Amino acid sequence: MSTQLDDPLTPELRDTLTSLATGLFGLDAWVKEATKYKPAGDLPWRALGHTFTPADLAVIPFFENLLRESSGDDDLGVRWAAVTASPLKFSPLPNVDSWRKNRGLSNPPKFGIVKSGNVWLTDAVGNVISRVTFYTPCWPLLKGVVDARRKAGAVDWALLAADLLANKAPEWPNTAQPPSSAFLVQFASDMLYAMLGMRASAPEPWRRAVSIELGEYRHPGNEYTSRDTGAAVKKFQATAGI
Amino acid sequence: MEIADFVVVGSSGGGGTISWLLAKAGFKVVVLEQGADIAQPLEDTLANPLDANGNIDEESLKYNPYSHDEYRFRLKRPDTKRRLRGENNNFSSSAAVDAAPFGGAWTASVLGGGSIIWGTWSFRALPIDFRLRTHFAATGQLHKLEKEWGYSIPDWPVSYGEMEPFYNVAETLLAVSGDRAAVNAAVRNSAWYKQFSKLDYFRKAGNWQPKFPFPCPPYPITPVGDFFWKGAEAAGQHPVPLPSGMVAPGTPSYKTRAKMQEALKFARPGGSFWKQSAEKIWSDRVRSACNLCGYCGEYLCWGKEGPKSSSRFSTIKELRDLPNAEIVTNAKAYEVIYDARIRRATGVRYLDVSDPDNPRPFVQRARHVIVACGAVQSARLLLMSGPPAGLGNSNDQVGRYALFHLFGLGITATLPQKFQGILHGEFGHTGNTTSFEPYFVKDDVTKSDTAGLWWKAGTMTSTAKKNPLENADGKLRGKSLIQRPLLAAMEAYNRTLEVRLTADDLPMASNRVDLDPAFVDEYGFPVARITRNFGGNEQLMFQLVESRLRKTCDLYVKKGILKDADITFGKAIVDLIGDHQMGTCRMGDDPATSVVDRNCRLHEVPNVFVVDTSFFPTGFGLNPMVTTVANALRVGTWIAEQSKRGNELD
Repeated sequence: MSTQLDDPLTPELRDTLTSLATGLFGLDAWVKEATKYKPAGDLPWRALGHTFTPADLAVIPFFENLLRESSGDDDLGVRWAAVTASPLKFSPLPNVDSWRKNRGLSNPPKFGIVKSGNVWLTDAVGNVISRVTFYTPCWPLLKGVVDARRKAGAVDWALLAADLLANKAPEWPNTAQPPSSAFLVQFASDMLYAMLGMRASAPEPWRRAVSIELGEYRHPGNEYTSRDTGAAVKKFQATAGI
Repeated sequence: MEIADFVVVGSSGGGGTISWLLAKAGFKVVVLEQGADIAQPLEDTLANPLDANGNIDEESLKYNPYSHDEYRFRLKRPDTKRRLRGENNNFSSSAAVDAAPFGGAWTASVLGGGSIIWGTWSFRALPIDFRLRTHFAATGQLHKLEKEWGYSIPDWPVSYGEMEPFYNVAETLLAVSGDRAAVNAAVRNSAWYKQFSKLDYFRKAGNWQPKFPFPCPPYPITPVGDFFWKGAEAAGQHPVPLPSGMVAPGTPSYKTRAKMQEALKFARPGGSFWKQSAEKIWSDRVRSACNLCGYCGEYLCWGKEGPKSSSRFSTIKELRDLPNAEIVTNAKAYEVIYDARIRRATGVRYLDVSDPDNPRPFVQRARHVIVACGAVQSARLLLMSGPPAGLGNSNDQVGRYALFHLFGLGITATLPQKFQGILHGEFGHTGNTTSFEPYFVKDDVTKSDTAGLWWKAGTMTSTAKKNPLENADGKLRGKSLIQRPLLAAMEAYNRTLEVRLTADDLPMASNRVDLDPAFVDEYGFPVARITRNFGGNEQLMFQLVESRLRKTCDLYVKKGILKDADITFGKAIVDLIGDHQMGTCRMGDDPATSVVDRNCRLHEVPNVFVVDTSFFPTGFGLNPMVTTVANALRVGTWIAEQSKRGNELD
């Protein structure tokens, strides 16, 4: 496991995931749309001849860090499995059964943490798992899908992403766990965190390029004054004509 | 501490405030907080704001972006700032339906509690909020409300007048930014006020036009706030800057002691504690001004010296200076120890969950116990304590009359593409401008017997969209959007704002918290079961407020900026139980119908107090923080005074 966490992705898998991330969002086509909002400033990803992709934003190294950081969730899964099997196992009360009975709590005890949503990832039967454990069975399935498409020619990564989301890739059986849609949603979620969380290792302003393209100015370490709010209000009023 | 005078369970606006006052009054106080001190890294990384000469070192007040992390503070699970990792509440909309685990009804589980992650909307209640029963009796609506709709609407045992000097101090501790004259005018000019202020009981409910100035100037208006301001004005409303519990941007560093001096000079609360000089009451600590960074609601404020007000950065900091006070974090209380022979509590049992896999049980003995864990968890703790029916619960009142406000009630407007990048949702906290116009709403919609009468609602406030990652993740997971449709949704979010109504839900006995018969937490304790549904007044609100909310956008519709289709109305969601939880330990004079007396002391166990939002007999339709802090000051003052007079509290 430690080797896996030191280097969670193979070079081939990194390339595959980089391409998949590109197909997931279509950032390059987006920023080149004629009618799209154009943020102010001389932005390097908008320079002539540049292609704007998730790779520019260092999303895959960020993803690898995420796999390492959340590996401890498996321990929590073990704990929750023990509590689920025996919900009163860790009670400090000396006679918890009679305590419950006295209080009219006669139903068989249950542990509801997964259903309450205070967990991040679960397997098919509701056990809490880490990102690494979630993704590990996905990698060979993804490779199978990509290999099959490569045999047919150049891979259309946008189409591949859409097919995975719709559980329509024949090489990823619908009986597999997790299904391809669950994989794609989780991977896209992690990519969103990489692109909008503004903590990836890409240099400024690349780290928050997607936010800038959205017109979102918020970023770690930002600070403003009432002059900024005053100017923004004036601009709003001018735009609204009020 | 072997035996404390007071053990206080919880450290938010209620527990954090009263523990400070009692320790300052000389009592031995132990605070038990089940969560960790998530603000500690700020203190570890920034220098002391006072240099060797006692002058303010401005460099040390610069921000620390440690907490500027949307994933960590809003998405990550387990969300341990909200609740301990193995905790949940259960929810049911009816006693006839089995309750199921859900994610709501938590404020926070950190040192400082909900005051760490709150939205800072800082309203004091209006005088009529303390006399709602009198009001509806006078208007002839009480029969409908109580006999037909099943509410139980009491007057508060205390009046606005009793609370007023403590409101002044509470606003001082919370460094509230605002414009008092504007708030007074907004209230005075509201249609409901004009209607009712002619009536004697209404005028006499209290001081409708307080003169105490807010300790900080108004928070700057943002584009989202301006949108609402102009729209509300055009609709005949009287918008004001939202009173906010933050040191206003651009103001000099906030000196609580000096502000306290002004508050005491203005109106000194009764009791010997407040006869002391401000120097005796408060240290020379300074707080830094807000830098509008925008990581407020749900986040830990960037500032070591608390630009955003919380007990953690005010009273708890002061408490830490005192040798007779102790704060224990990661202390999950699970029983108020009750001695049936003497009908008194003798302390609190808790688990040290610093290492949650290996919790260690402890007992903190004390002469008095103060429960302040939030309305849901306070009821749960009392029901897990004492006799099988629960502590202070002989009359089956603990947990009843739970109040949560109407969350999610409002309109969402998405502006056209030319507004991309214009709204600047990142400025400051979520709310910005507000209106008291819908505090009471006249039924001009239905043709039923409610028509023509005024019903209780709350305030209408502009709210910005501040969490683009959370929105994008929600669109991905909830609507399976990827590629251009996802990017389009992310773009639209930047041009979207809300006008949100924070409205009352009136008290019903059937809306309650009790112990779930089946579900337990990690340590085998029954979780809280919340049964809650909307009554007739809330249902009526869904019909009455939509047109009023939409009217605030009429200006923009007329200008062709918005189309009706760009504006969506959202009713409150019954299990969207937000950060405002109140009731469950109702304050009243009659033990048969209430849990605590006017001094927040259990009717049945005289050395146990409940000093958070649980005591609220009604919920105002306003953020409860200012009232919670003011009440904690009031009760703490009473306790200190009784002790000084030699009266045994127990």
